[in-house]
Amino acid sequence: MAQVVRTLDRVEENADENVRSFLTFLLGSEQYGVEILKVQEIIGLLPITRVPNTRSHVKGLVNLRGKILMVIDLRLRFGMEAVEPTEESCIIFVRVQKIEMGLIVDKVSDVLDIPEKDIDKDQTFSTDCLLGIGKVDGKARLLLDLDRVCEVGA
Amino acid sequence: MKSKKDKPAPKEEARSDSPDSAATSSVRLNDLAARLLQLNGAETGELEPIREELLELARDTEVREEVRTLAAEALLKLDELLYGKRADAADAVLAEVNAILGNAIETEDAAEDETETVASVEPQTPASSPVEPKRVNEVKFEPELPPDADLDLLRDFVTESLEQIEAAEASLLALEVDPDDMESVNTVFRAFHTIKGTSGFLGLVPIKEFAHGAESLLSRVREGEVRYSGGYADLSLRSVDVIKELIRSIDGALSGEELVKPAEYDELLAILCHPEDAGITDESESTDATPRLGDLLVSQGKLQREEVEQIVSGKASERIGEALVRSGKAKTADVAQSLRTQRKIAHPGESVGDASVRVRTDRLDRLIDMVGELVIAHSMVAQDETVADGKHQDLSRKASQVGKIVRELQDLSMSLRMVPLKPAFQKVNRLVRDLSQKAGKKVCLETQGDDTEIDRNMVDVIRDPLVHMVRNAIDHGIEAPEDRVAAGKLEEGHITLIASHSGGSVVVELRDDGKGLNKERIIDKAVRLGLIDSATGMSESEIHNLIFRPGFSTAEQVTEVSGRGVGMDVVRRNIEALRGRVDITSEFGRGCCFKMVLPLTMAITDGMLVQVGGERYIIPTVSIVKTFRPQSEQLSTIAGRGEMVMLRGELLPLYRLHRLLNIENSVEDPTRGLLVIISIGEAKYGLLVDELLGQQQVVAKSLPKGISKVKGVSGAAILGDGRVGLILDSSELGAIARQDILDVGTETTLETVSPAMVN
Repeated sequence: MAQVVRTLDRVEENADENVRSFLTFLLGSEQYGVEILKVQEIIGLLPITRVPNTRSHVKGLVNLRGKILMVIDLRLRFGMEAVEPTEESCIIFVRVQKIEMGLIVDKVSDVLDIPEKDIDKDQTFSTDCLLGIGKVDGKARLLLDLDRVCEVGA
Repeated sequence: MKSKKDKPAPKEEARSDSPDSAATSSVRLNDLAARLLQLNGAETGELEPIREELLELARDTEVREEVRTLAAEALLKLDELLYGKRADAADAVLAEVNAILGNAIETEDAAEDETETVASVEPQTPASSPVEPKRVNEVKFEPELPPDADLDLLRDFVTESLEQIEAAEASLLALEVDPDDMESVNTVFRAFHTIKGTSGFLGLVPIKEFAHGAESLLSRVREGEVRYSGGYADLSLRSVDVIKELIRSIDGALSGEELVKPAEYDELLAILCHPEDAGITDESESTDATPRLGDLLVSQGKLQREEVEQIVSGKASERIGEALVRSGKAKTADVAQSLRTQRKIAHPGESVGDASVRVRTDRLDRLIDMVGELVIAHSMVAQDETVADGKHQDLSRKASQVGKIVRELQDLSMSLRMVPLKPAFQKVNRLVRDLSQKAGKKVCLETQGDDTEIDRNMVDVIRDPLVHMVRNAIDHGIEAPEDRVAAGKLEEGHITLIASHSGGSVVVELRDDGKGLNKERIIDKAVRLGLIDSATGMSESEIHNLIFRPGFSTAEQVTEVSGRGVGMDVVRRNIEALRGRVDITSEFGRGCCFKMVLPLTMAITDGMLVQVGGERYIIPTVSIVKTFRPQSEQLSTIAGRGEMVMLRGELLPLYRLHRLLNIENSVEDPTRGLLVIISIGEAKYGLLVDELLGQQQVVAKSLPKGISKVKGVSGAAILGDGRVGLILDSSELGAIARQDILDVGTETTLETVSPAMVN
């Protein structure tokens, strides 16, 4: 038992030093991030089949190598205005709680390692989809809580 | 109570799980015995691991000494076989080894009972008196699963046991035909044995005790002490039912329900312990459906009936065949041949030793998906300009070679999900036996084509309609024996169940030679119920099919008089939900035939691809009656009922798909679009689409998780070009449209009543 307790203590001590990796992307001028561990793949836009009578941010269904998956437009999801897709638009496929779905973003930037201590979680955010705000090189990244994003996705 | 004795063998340290070791060694022994039973004398390779296990058991200081000794003895025997001494008599040796193991198990069990009461690891009822020989009669039935139960193990146990039970049922039924079929007895024995072992291991005492009782009964049959017939047969079948119920109840408990003790549990358990006290004998009330060995020999002129009867009465416990040969009345070859004939009747077309692998269905589905993708990817390559322009013959030859392989792969992958209908038919077999006994009728079931394959998922879903129809046939179709004789028919009613492939469908037919449908009564009833005005102009089959109308079912009177119609609308609904259809044909006084036509698989939908605005949708072909471009004079609008279209004197509602699904930029003028006439159950309507793109077979999938249920859409599929298409739910679309019209109708009731041009 004592051994277990000691190990658990060590785990906690290390936690603050832990670094989490985020895939960052652009929506308009804002930098967002999602946990890299939940990202399945990034792919250019695919033909999307509209699904009738669903919420506007649900763009429809795509065929990802034989799997039929739902794609949502993150811009619309966050109440931003819709834009025409560009060459740089992509779909980030994520997997949360056994649900796999695609998120359309304007542009994928890069992968950032953000130490736990640099993630500000205590603010009250206007949206409940945020995990926290990560500070990297003095700039803020909005880190998304994918569980929430996808929960109300449909 | 551990027999740790004074043996100086402390080589192996006492194991940490010592309180359980008694139980474990019992389980180990049971496991070994079960494995041995499944062995074929020739498979010496399989013996090695068993030998290892025995050796370990014998060396294990935690195991009771008597048991260790017995294990060692068994080991010696086994070695005789393994190391050549008696390699020629493999089966005999195995039987001896098994007998020793049986002893060991008994010793172990007996000792275990003692330890249990003394050690009382579990909080037992304080009233429980010390060891009693009839302890089995007071099995404590906890309403919950053992607290330390491993749920995954339990789940596996449930699945495996149900399979075992299924096999046991099949064998028990085979035994009905041939009570001396030792192979079947062994199968049943093994099933009970394995369930006993595993349930003991999992701490499911009630199941273990019951399986033990059932196993004992079967082991008596195996040893020839009793003959499998009459009361013993019934007892075995009832035991299987109780075990099945127990296991189902475990299954229920896994999802939080309370464990329920089957009603018959106590009674049967008591009978199982002492069958003869309960007046069980092997005397049979009814005759066997399949000729007995003696009958066969007599019919072939090899023997006189008297001779057979003499032998049988003299040596009831012996196998008839053996007795006949020993007494010199019949030649071995004749008996053997008759035995084979008999087997053929009992197990038509049974194949031995089909090796199989258990695979998770989601992996299988994924494989099928990937193959589907491969087909699409290949067609993209094959249609690519470089390949298709004919300038590169070598390349296009290679592409077509790949195409062949891909197609074969596709066929193969689709067949992976297919299973024979046999298990479903076997259940019917059982049902017929039980129902006819209950109804006091004599019914014989004949099945044909039970090796017809159908999608695995379909087997489960066709069971209910099948049961319903069989019940109907026995309850109402087949007459009582005296009525049959009076009508000049055989006393025994015949039900034939036939499965076959036809086109892309599976056809299942259920025929009976009962009294058939009474047309006049049906018409009477239908008129009274207001389903039809009169039967003028109706064909015979249209009249018969009236019994599938809802409302017809609840008519008790008709049920009694004409003998049909109980819940037949439910049957039809179920079958239509599977995208199949059901027809009935009948000849009054001669019988009735239900014909179900089902798709081979639920996974593949025959669909019509339609275009509306910029979108494409798939409408399942089964529900489509016809498609046509309407003329303006066929169209009208009726207040409160919306747009209508006149088709061959029938006024059908017209729904616009683009309105139901809110699609823009589509054809608004019906005379420029196409009407798809859809028929679902009794409802018919026309659906306006822009154009037809053609027919396509698609692999239907449910909408991905995370998307909420979309009304009017039953699923999605990947189309030939790799895009996703939505599959429409015709009946739901009709419902939405009717609701829309109701909503609109209440708002604006002032509309033109006269027919008017639309647009």
